[in-house]
Amino acid sequence: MADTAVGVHLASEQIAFDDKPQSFGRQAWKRFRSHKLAIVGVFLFLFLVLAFWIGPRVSSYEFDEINIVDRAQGPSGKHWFGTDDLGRDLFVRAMRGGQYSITISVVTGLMAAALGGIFGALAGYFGRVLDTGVSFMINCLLTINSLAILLVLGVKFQMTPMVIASLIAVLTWTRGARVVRALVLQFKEREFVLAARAAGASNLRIIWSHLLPNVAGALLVEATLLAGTAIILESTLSFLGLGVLPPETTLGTLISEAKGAIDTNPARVLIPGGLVTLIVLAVNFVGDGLRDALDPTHELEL
Amino acid sequence: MTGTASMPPANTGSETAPLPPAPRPDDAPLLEVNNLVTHFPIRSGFFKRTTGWVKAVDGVSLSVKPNETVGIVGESGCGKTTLGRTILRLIEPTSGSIKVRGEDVVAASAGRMRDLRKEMQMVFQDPYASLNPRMPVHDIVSEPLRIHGTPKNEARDRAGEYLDAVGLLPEHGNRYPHEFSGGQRQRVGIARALTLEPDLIILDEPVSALDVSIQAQVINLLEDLQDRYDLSYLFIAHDLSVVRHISDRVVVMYLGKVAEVADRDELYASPGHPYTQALLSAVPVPDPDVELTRERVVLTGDLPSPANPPSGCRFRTRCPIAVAKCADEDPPLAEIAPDHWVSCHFPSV
Repeated sequence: MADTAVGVHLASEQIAFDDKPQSFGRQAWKRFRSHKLAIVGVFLFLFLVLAFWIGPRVSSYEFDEINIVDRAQGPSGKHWFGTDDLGRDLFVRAMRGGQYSITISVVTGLMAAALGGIFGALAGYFGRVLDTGVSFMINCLLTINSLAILLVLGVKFQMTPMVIASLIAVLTWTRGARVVRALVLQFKEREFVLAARAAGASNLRIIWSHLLPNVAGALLVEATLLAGTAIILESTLSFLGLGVLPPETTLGTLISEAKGAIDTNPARVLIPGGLVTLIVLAVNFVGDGLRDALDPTHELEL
Repeated sequence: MTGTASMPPANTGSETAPLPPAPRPDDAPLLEVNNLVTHFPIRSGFFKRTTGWVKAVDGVSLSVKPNETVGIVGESGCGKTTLGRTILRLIEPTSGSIKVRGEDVVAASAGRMRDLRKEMQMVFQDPYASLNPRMPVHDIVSEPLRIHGTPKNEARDRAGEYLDAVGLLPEHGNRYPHEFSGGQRQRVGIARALTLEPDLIILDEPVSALDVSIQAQVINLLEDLQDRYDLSYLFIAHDLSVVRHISDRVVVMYLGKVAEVADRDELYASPGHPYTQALLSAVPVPDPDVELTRERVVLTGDLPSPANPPSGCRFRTRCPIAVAKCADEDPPLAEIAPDHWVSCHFPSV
């Protein structure tokens, strides 16, 4: 009876797609482009980078140029963002601070994602002792208050922006690692991983070309969230006077310095605070767009 | 048939593969499994101590001859899938031997195992889980070749040829799995299993996730490919009509053990084991008069836990003809007719 059912022509499943196949890059770009907030994020990010790096050059002031006569002014045509208590131009200082803040956030995000991706994938894939070890390390780090550690180190040592970025990354990679570990645990039992093993694939190959591409989206989102966290942590440190050394400045330092002037000149707080918000938003929007762009199963809203 | 528009190279694996020292007769089994046991530890408590074993596969012997299709049937949870995966050493066996052309797979070193994997490939059950969603199809199909050192361009060309052989177009290789239907995805999975030019393909319920009409096409394709590439199949399924259609011999498994082995026609005409009889009587008969009047053997109860199987004969808790002896003695697999083996104290002849 099965014999009669099997007379279907073999080629009847031959299929024609009505669109042309496109390279992964083109498809990814299409998906990214269709994500409006991501495009907004890219432009916002580029605008901020340009402003932070070009702004100080077009201004006629230096970031550490003290001019007591013009001190504690509000925004004006002469000093666009006003001046601080020493008469330093706040536009130039905000741009200078923005350079550090944006660098710290991007470096922290990338480093934490790399650490979290590597440790999470190894723990999830190999399991057993390695998993127990990494999980223990993660749990220990999670019980520690990052800020407390940073404060202790900040009092003891003078920190450069790169050191701050690395420290924040070392203290916060655990979130990404947990996400990656959980996803790897889930994906490594999938049949496509078994198929790769049946073909003789090495562990490295399975992790690199089968597991990481499938967890990259989630890790990317974690990285952008961490980039935001990093700016805020750095701002907190600077606010407490433990960040970069004066006369260098960051956005957090600017807010800290302005805390006494909040009643008389609220712009001094609002401007650097707004810039922090814009950086975090831009990074998060771009991260969202990248996650969708890198997912080939993501449906286009056309 | 567009599938044959351009013929991929015929299977040359048997000529290029290193031959075992002694010449083997033509009908010597390609695959010999002897008393294979796969137990999974049950760990519990804070220190993850092993408190028991799930006896997924518990002493299975079978053989597959060149160009033969052996069907393995049984309920869910009877160890069919574990058996298939253990043969490929995707799961390490607890004991027993697996021999491919006389060479022991269990004892093979990691390096030798890589070579042996070219002889045996697998097609998986779930076409949605068996293809990496982040890889374009030509990468999926050519990956086995890339693993074994074929240059990228050549691997991609060969992938195109095998896509053609399974009834897809080579240019479909640029697409991602989610752009295909279930049947098309299963074809991709079959193409991937073919690229290493294996002699044996283990088909783990390759059609059970597909629509019935698509099942027929995939079964037809598998039969075509078997002829074209001289393949042997170990066909794992729970659908008796599909197994009847494609198999030369059938192995019936129950709770990790072999209940009955026989040629297809013999098994379907005169099943010797009460379990086989119950399975066959569950298949509906297309004639309504016969269907209404025929006597059916209906199994009661569930499959017992493989962690704690019944004493003696494993089937006795659900067997309609069980007696006291069945609880004491485990019946050996005995030949009740030529090439017809049954593991029962009271086989019907």
